Amino acid sequence: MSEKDINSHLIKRIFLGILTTGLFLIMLAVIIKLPENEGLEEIIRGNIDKSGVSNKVTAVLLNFRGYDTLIEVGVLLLAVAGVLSIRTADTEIIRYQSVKPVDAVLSAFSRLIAPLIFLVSCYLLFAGAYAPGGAFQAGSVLAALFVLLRLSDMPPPRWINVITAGMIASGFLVFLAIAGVLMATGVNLLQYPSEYAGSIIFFIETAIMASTAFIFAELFSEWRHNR
Amino acid sequence: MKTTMLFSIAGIAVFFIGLYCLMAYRHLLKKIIAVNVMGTGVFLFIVSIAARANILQPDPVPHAMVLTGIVVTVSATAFGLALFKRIYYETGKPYLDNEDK
Repeated sequence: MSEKDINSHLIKRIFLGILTTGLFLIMLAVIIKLPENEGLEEIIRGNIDKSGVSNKVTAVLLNFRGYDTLIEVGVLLLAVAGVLSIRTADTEIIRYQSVKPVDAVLSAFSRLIAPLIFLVSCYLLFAGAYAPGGAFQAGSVLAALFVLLRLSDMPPPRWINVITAGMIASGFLVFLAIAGVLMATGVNLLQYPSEYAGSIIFFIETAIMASTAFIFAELFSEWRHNR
Repeated sequence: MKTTMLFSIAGIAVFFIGLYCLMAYRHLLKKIIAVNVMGTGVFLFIVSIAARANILQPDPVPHAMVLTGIVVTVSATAFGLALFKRIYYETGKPYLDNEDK
């Protein structure tokens, strides 16, 4: 790089630094004057009994604003479609090199920890009803398990390849089917009858967990194309 | 000054640090990381806003929004990385050519 290039680089950085600092100061002036606001906490506390779960965030996520989550799962599906259409076998920058012979410590450790990770993800799924946790957290942990098994050279069984596409779509389809059935009975979109709300939410969450796990594993590791 | 205000300011600061890096660097991986940093700043800001009236009973609606946002960020990052890998494979360069050097 010539001296002139370095100079223009420096000028660009200084300009950007001044610009972002200025925007930061403007934002600062705005947020200091923000009025206090209780928000919707009280309304949600008053209606939590009807939602079927006792954790407020889960109630908002899957009952009061269920359509947000429905569309969110749709976005995940779109991301997978995008990644799969862009990715070719050749774009792998770092080809996965299987370690041979397989590292004994890694292999033993993975075998030891895999059931534990599965247990944690199931716990997170159940905990979502009354404590911080839920489908997406459980699904991410499960996806981490898939990635770990991939990295420690334990490829999934063949039948995983067969079910992956279905599993990726299952979360969105189950959610959409429930929304459709409910609408057919004459209520609003995703308005659960309050006596069944808990079961419906748990069913949807289980589907989203399984689907999220496969989606994240597919997005980040190409874990099933190993053999 | 309340604690939540401190978190709000920190969130905005993190956002603008990310914005600076997004504009200042050409390397696409740095840009992807910068967008993630910006997102983190927004999440911190939203969560602090949720707690500003009552820190013990925060508003759960922004929390649910942040949870949704995190999942969307993760998938957007994966999509960005896939695009980056393809660009690197096609051009052999980790940045876009049409930007001025």
